Amino acid sequence: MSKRSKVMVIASGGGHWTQMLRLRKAFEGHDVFYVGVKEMYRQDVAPARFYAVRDVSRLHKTALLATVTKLLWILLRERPAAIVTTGSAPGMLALRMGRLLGARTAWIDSIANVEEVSLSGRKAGAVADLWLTQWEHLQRPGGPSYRGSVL
Amino acid sequence: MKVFVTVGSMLPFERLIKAMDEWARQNPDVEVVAQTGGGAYVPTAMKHQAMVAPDAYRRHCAEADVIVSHVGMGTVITAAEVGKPLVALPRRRDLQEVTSDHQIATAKWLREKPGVEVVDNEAQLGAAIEHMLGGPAVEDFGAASREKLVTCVKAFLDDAVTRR
Repeated sequence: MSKRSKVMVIASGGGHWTQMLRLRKAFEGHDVFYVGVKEMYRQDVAPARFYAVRDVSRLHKTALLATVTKLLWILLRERPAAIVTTGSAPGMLALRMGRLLGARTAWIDSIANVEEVSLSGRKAGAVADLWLTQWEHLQRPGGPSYRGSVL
Repeated sequence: MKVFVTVGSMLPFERLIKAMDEWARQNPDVEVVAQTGGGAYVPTAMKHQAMVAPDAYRRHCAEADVIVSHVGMGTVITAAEVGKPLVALPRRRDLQEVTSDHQIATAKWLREKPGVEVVDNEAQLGAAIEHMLGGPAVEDFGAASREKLVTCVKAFLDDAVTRR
């Protein structure tokens, strides 16, 4: 395998991170590294490589520049072939930036979005090669597909 | 008896924390531990921490007789994994507790689930805790839909890596 066969998995805190952990079997066999929004999440994925970035929800806007810079550094250092995220905002940034650097991208919208796909999830269609909702009733032609859920 | 209270690690949810602190004061024989997400209100009757590390979080959930939380999918999943009943109060956007009303929508779906009692307001928490004590755990979700998603993501990654 070339050194560009790495897989980047990124999720923000709480439920996004918990959902990502329920998918870990999918990452087995790849050179996978993780990006989370708190240093303490490192213990969940050890001994895999882990990077922490600051969260950038609508309530944490000041972190945006710091997070973009750190993500760029991570992407240039690791050069992942694919990026998978369970949301939210830092994952969206990673997909946008990673795609420009040639990575294949996957957005898995949070299962917490029961009645409608999240705002980020709707935007993800433009930057995700694999665009998924975890609710069958939210699947749409020209919208996200349903291929199961973390539950 | 132990109750673990969690409102996630992202945002405070003082309405729930205040109500549970008051409940802890009225039930001094119960060990009440809370992950508060920070916030200005400092509990006096229950043990509390703004943020609990993932391993400690899981341990508190496993040790609790009942988990009391916001309607966070992380907590719902963990409660099912450790086999505990859950009492859940949705955050509300009109009270600036969250940026969208997705917890109300999730709560509607969650109401149908065995092992979960969704309450409409903080005044109902005490009765719900008593009701859920010793009751069934949050029903495990079964592996079928997860395997489907894992297979899909795996195929996507295998394809992405071979293209390189």
